[in-house]
Amino acid sequence: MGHPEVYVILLPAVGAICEVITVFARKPLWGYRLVVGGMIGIFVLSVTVWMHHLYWSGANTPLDTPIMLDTELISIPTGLIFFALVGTLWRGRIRFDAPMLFAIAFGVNFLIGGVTGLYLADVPTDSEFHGDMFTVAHFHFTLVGGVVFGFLAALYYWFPKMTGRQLDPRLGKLHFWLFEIGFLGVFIPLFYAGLQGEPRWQAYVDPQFGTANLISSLFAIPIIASVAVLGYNILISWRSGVPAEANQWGGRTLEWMLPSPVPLVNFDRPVVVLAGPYDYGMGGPRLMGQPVVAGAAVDTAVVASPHPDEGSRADRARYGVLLLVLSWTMFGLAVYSAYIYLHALNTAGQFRPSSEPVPSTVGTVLITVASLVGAAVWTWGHLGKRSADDPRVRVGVTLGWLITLAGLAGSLVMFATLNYPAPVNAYASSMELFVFFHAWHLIIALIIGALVLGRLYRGRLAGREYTIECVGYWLWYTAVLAVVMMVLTLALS
Amino acid sequence: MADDLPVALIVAAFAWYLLGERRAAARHRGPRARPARQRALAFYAGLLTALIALSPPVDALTGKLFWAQMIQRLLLLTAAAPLIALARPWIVLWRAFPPWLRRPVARAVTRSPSCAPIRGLFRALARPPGAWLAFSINLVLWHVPGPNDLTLRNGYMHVLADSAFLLFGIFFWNQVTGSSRATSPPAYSRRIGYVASAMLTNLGLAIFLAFAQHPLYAPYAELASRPGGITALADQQIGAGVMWAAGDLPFAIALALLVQHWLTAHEATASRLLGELVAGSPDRGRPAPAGQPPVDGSGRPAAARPVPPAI
Repeated sequence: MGHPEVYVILLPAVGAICEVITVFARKPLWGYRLVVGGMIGIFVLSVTVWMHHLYWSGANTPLDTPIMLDTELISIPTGLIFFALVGTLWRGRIRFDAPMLFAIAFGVNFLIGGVTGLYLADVPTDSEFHGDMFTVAHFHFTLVGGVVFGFLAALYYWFPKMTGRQLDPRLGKLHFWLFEIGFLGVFIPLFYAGLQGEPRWQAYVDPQFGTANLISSLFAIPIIASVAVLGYNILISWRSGVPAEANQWGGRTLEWMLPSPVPLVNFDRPVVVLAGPYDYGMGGPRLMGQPVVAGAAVDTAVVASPHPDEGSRADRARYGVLLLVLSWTMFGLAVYSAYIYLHALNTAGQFRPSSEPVPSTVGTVLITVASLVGAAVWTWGHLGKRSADDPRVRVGVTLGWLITLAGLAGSLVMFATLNYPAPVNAYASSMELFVFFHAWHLIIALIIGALVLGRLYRGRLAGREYTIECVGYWLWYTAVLAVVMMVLTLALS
Repeated sequence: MADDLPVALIVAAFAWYLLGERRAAARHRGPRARPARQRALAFYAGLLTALIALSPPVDALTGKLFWAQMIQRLLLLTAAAPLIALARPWIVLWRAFPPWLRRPVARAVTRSPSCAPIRGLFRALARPPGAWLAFSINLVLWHVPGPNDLTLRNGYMHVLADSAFLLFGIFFWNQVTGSSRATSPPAYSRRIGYVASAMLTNLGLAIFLAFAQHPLYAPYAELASRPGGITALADQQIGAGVMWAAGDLPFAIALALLVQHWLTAHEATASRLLGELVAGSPDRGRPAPAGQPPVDGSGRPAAARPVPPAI
C-alpha cells in the first residue's frame, strides 16, 4: 500500500546523485530539463500505481490491467533520468572519490532493481514472483541499492560541509567496495532462489535452495564489515579528521560558498543566484561579499542586509508548527479514512464483534472535553497577545497545561481499561490506535507546554510570547483530532 | 438525429474554421507564421480526437460498456479540450462570420444589458476558481447515477453531457495553457497547484468508482450481456481503472510541461539580471549600509524596481 513512499524516499536520493555526478564529472547535468520532467512524471505516477500491491489480495481483478500499464509507464521517466546521468558522465573528467563511487553504484544497483521491477509490475509474471525471494531481492535492489547508496553518496559528499572535517578517503573507498560486493553477493543469489521458487516469509530454508542461501549469507559478512568501517570512519573523522576546505569538491552551488562547517546563520544576508550551478571552467566560485568585477563569472550578488529579527523568528516558528500540524493531519486522515473504509466494507455486522465493547461514552466525551477546554484556557491566557509578565498569562497557561494533563490521565485510564482480548481484530486495534494516537499528541503538547512554562516561571519568556501561541496551535489541532475520533468512535461502531 | 448531431457539429466547426482561415489568408498574402500553423494543427488534432470519441466504434459501445463511455469522456475532457485550448481558434472562428454581421453581434455581446448574465458567466469561467469548479462539478455530476442514467436513456442528454465535458474542459485547460483571453495567465506556481488539485478530483472519483461494491448505473446493470462477456461490476471497475490509470496521464504531462516553462521563465529572468549586473557600475552588488533601503543589481532601491513578470 505504501507505494508513493517508495518514491518519497527515492527522489531525494536521485537529486543528491544528480548533484554528485555533475560535480565529479565536471560537467553540467546533461538534459537538466529531462531530469526535472522525469521527476515530475515519477511523482505523479507514483501517486496512482499503489494498487499493484493488491494484485493478489483478491481486491479487484479488473483493475489490474490499467494499473499494470501505469506501473510499467514509470520506467519511462526513470529511464529519462538514467539517460541524463549517463549523458553527464559521457566524456566528463571523472574523479572516483567516495561520493562518486556510491553514485555510480546507485546507477548499477537501481538499474537491476528497476528492470526486475518490470516483472513484478506485470500481472502474469507477478502471479509467480509476488510470494517468493525474487521480490525480496528486487526491493532490496531499489531500497538499499538505490536509496541507501544515494544516501551514502550524499553523506560522503556533504559530511565535510556539515562537520568541517573530511571523511577519510581510503576508508571511504574500503567501505564502498565491501558494501557493493557484499550487497551484490547477498541479493543476486536470491533472484536465483526466487526463480527456483523459494517462498519469502519463511524461516525454514528448503535444502534445494541451500546453496543460494549459503552464498547469500556469506556475503552478508562484507556488509557487516563495511558498516563497521563506516561507523569507525565517522567517529575518527569527526573527532580528529583533516579539516575540510570551504569548497571541498569544487562544487558551484551555494552551500560551497560558505565556510565549513556552515555558520549558524548561514548567509548573513539574502542572496540572489545569477549563474547556473554547473558552469565548471568559468573560474573558481566566488565567496560572498567580494566586489563584482565586470566581465568575470558572477555567482551571487548581495541584495539586502538585515539579520533575521525577532519578528521573522516568530513567523518561522508559526510556520514550523503549522507545517507540523499539516503533516500530522495527513497522517491522521489516513487513519480516519482507513477506519471509515473498513467500517463501510463490513456491512454484515462483522466489523465490531459482539465480544468487543464500544469504549465508554462518558470517558470518551470527558477526554475530548478535557482536550478542548485545555486548548481554550491555554489560548485565553495569551488572548490579545499579552506580554509574559501579565498575571493572566500565568493563570491561563498553567491551568491549560494542567487540564491537558488531566486529559492525558483520562486517556491512559481508557487505554488500560479497553483491554481487548487477543487476537485483536480491525475494530479493537482501531480503538486502541485512536486512544493511543490522541494520548501521544497530548504527550507532545505537555512536553512543549512544559518548556514554555519553565521559561515563563523563570521570567525568560519576555519577547518570546509567540511560543505560547505556537503551542496553542498544537493544542487546538489535538482537540480537533479528539473530536473527530470521538465522533468516529461513538457514531461508527 | 441525436446520434449524428455531434459528428455534424464537429464537421461544421472544421468547415467554419477553414472559412475563417481563408478569410484571413485573403487579407495577408505570403506564408503564414509558424505559431499560427502550429495552432491550426492543434485545432485539427483536437477536432480529430473529438471525432474519434464521438463516432463508432467508441460511441457505438458507450451504450453497452461503461468503460467505453469513460474512454469517450476522457478523450473529450483530457485530450480534445487541451488541444483546442492550445489552438486558441477563437479569432479565426470569429473571422468566418461575414464582416457586416460581426460588428452588430460584437456590440450586442459586449454592450447589451440583456447579455450581461452571459458576460458574467463567461468572466467567472475565464478565471481559475470558476474554471476549476466548473471542471470538477461537471466531472462528478455526470458520474452520479441519476444524471448518468439519463444520458444513457436519452440521446440528447448524451449530446449535452459530451458537450459539457468538451466545453468545461476547454475552459479548464485554457487556464493551464495560459491562453485565456479574458485575464492574464496565472503564475506558474498557481497553475501547478490548479492542475494537481484537479488531478486529485479525477483520481478520487476513480478510486470511489473502483471500490464501489455494486454496479452504480442501472442501464448498464440491466443489460443481459456485455461485449467480452464481463459482468456489470467488472465493466465498472475497468472503467474506473481507465479513469485512474489513463485519465491522470494528461495531468502528469501538463505538470511536467508547466514546470519546464517555469524553469524557462526563471532562466530568462536570471540571465537578464546577470546582464544588468555585469554591465553595471562599480558600486552595484555591494551590501547596502544598515538603515538604508537595500540596493539590487540595477542600483535602484528594491521597492522602486519594476515587478518582474510572474514566474
